[in-house]
Amino acid sequence: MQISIGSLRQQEALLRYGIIALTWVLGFCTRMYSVIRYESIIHEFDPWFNFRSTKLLVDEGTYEFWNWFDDRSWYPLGRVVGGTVYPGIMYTAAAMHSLFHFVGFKMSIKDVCVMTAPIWSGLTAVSAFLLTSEISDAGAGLIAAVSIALIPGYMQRSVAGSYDNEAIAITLLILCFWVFLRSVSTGSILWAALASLSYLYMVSSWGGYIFITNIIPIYVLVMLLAGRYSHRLYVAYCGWYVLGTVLSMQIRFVGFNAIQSSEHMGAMGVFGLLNLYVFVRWIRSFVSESTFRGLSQLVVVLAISIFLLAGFVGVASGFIGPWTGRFYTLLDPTYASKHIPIIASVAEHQPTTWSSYFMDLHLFVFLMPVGLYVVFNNITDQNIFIIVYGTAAVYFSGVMVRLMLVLAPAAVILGSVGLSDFLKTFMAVIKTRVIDMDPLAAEQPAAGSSSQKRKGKQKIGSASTKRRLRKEVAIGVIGFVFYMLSMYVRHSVWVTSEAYSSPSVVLSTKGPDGNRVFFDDFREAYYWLRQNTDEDSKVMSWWDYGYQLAGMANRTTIADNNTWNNTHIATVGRLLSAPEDLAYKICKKLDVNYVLVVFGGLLAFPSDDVNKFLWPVRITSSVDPTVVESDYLTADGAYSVGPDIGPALKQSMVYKLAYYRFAELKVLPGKVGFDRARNVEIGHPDVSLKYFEEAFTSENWLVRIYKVKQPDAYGWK
Amino acid sequence: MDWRKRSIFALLLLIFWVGSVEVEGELGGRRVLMIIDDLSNQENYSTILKYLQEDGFQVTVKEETEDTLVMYDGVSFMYDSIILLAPKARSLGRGMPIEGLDDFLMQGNSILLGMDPVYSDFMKKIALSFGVELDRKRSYVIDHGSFHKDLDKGDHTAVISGGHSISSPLTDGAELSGISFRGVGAALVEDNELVEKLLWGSETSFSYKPSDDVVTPPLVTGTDCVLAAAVQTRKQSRAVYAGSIEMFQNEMMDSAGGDHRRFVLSLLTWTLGSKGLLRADKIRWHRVGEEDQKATYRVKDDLVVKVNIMEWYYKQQQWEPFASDDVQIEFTSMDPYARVRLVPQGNGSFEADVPVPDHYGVFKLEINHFRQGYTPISMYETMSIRPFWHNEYPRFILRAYPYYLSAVLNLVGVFVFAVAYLYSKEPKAKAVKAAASKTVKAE
Repeated sequence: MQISIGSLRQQEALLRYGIIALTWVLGFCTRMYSVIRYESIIHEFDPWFNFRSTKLLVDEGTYEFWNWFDDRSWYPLGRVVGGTVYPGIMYTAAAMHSLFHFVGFKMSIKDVCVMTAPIWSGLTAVSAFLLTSEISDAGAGLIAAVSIALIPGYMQRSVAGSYDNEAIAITLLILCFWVFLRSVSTGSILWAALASLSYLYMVSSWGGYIFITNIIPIYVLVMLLAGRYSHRLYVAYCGWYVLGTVLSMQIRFVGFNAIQSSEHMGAMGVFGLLNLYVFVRWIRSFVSESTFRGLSQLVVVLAISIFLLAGFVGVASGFIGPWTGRFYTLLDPTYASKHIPIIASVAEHQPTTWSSYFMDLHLFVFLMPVGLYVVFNNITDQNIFIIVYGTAAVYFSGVMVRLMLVLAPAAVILGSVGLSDFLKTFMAVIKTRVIDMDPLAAEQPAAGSSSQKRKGKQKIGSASTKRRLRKEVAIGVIGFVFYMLSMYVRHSVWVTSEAYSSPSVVLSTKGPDGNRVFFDDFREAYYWLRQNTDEDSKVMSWWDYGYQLAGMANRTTIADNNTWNNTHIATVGRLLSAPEDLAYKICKKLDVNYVLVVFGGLLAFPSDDVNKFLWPVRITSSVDPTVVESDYLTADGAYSVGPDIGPALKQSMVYKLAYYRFAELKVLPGKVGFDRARNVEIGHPDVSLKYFEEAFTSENWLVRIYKVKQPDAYGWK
Repeated sequence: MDWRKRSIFALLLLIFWVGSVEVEGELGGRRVLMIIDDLSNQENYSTILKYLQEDGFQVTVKEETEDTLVMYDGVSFMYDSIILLAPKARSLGRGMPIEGLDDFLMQGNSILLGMDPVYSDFMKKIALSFGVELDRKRSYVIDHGSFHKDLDKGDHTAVISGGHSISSPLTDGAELSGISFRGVGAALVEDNELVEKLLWGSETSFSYKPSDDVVTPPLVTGTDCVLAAAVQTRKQSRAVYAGSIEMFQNEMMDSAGGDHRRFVLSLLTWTLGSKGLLRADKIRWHRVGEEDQKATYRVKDDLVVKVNIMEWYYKQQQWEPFASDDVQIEFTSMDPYARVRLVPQGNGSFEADVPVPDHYGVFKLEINHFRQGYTPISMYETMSIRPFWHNEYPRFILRAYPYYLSAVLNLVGVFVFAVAYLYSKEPKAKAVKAAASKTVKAE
């Protein structure tokens, strides 16, 4: 039977494409847990805004979306959404929506949004395959494709319903890196242009594009320092930087930041440096060594002074923006918690714990160093890139939990390179078995040859025991690796199904009989608002619920998850922390009709407004110094709603609104107002309200809505 | 939907409709109920009764203990105003609890409350609900410096007021003097922001029991001594308090002088809605040069704002244009960005040009017109002010022409260069090659 090389290649291609296609299916299916467990619903907070915007884009068209001024959020300031949004995901979903409709697949825009992330996870696998193949080979690429489809660190942001920027941005991140590496490998302007196009897509999708903007220059810098400059690098970088910057400026939210803000200065500096380097090389090629030395000193001094002067003038004149808090946080993890409470208050901005590394990366925590070792053993232009990317990602992931998302692909790619090398080494040992186990095959050609070969055969014979031992070791090692891989799959699927599939709009818990019990209080409350309040009502809540209120209740909000105005948020914080008469004044000033608080005391839901409350206080006190955090604490500095409750907390609206009429409930026998979330009997069960009246309390008391009373007809204050 | 469901639905709708029809007393209606302590004293009030009847009011006089004292017939109130000159009243007739009075006022009806040093707790409660706190029972406003010589009985309780509110609806802007008063002293409750005093004592007045020596500080002294006060509720009704029923009686009306008479009659008819009743329609607006009203405008637009304000003329029994040039409108978004005077157009319509500031957000057009004696007007309408659309900026800016030029030149330059580079022959091809090979060797 003859097998031509061509068909072997075809088989390989078939296998390759087959594996990738199956990976796509696998990734898609695993991400469906959230739909199976709950329903096809948009998750969490930010996705609700993305969904609302996408709906507007689909219903009203591009122009309306581009010019969208949202007068129903941040009342009365409003928000210029068109200019403060990364529109990539909305355009993507809208394009998918019209594609599906064109094909005759009439999906509603909500379902398209829910499915966006799972569909794109397949593209992520493809991109990871391409990038890893570029760095190592197709074998490693396949491992990377399968692994990234399942890695929990990425899965947590891409389950069905998690319609957030990251859902497509991770794909684009990897794609962008791949295209850029292609252009470095080929030195082709075309690839550099494609890199800038994929960069544009990335910029339009996620604020994390800044990672690319800085990783690529760092890579180029490392290449220069390592003496690996090539014209290919020059073409790739300059092409990408110039075109990419011009293109990224077309995104309204980025605009002139691309050449002004400090985050982008690194790329610009490396661009200058690279050109200087090339210029110096060019000069060097036709002047003598001694002239060159003098010249180079002059040029270096000149360049540095010009650069410093330009930087100084830029910063002093305000042309180059100051470093934003989020960036400082990257460099100094404690910066935000010291200075910017609004950044520190976000859960996903907290420093990463060790356990979450294992939870999110599992096997790749160990495989990543292996990959690094392998890559260091065989340094190429492409390998240096993954070293730079991997190192930076590890550092940043330690700063914020959120950036685990950036580390996951790096870990997978490095790990796959390592794993692939590992497997290749040991598989090679196993493969030699075919020759060893068949001594005749080895003997026959040797039979008629010289004694030298006989000698060699003897050597083989003597080594065969050693090799058999190695074979068994190899089989054992490979078996172990496959066992670990299967554990990885089990772990990923388990984590996805148990931890990452909750929409957090609907809560659930396992009942005593093992069945799931759902708590749909949020939607119950939002729909109550939607059905029972005036369309122009202004609903005030802590900013966490702003996007959901706008999306589900369709009511005007005072602050939402786009935390662009710290002062306005502090005003909401002041309302929650103030005594009732002051709170009423704030309500009147902002025309607030309803106040919404989330209260978990009955359901033992820990992340309610009472537990979050110190953050509003801190944010408020950063604007209004009359609010002092210690007033809200007990005498010994603890935060408690028990009998030793802080004096200001007792008076605060958050306490009053949360515990109003709570003492009427018999949560535990013999206790008055027992708070299950904090396991304490509340200190002051008699809460009375003067200016607010209870309008709605959801089934499990999770959401409580209060109506702000109209001014008294007789003029009573 | 089958017929049964449909009929139930229709029935529900009917019930709902009937229930929702609110029978509101017409503003400035003329059915007046006067309640006095004792019908035999009716003659004491003949002056004011005669005046009111001549003025076109249908006054019914009832005694507070009378069984026929019915104000509410189960659907609506039978009167538009109540003059309650029964300080010792313990109720307001059958089926009329104190909350009933609240409903009465909330429907835009008015009430005048006459008080006396001998008063019931019920009446004290009513006064307090308007923000007037009465002094102890049997205490009088005493003024040793300013009292009416003819009316006084020696204890200096027939005081002459120190001043009164000179709002134009009440006394047509005139300052009256010699308004006499014999009755209980009162203070305004600070927690009420709408109550205002209409008549107060002189600098030397104070409130105390005439028989007692002054040992504790009096509740009120001097001009804080409230003789009459009024609340204009947010429902366009008026609740007026007067600390003396004697000032309405013939004796004082006849002998206290023309100014007293004029003030008391003005106070009465003002309470009944003769003057200062205003009605404002919704605020309307449009852009200069346009007609339609939109919900969204752009920064730097110029808006024309209009509002109709009418005043009730009870003689004619109709709404006439309100003539005033001190109505202002504010354009606010948390803070006012513009405060403009509304110019009366003569037909009740007020107009103002409001420039939209260069600031986007949700803005309110807000009128807060609080004038003594006039119905308070407090209302707002919201609109959103959006920033420029991307295609509303000027396409070409004069200052940028050097840049346009350089961009065009750059395009042309690259094109020319490309053509020259690609299609020109290289005359010194050999020399270039030689030079190239030389450098290769050198390396």
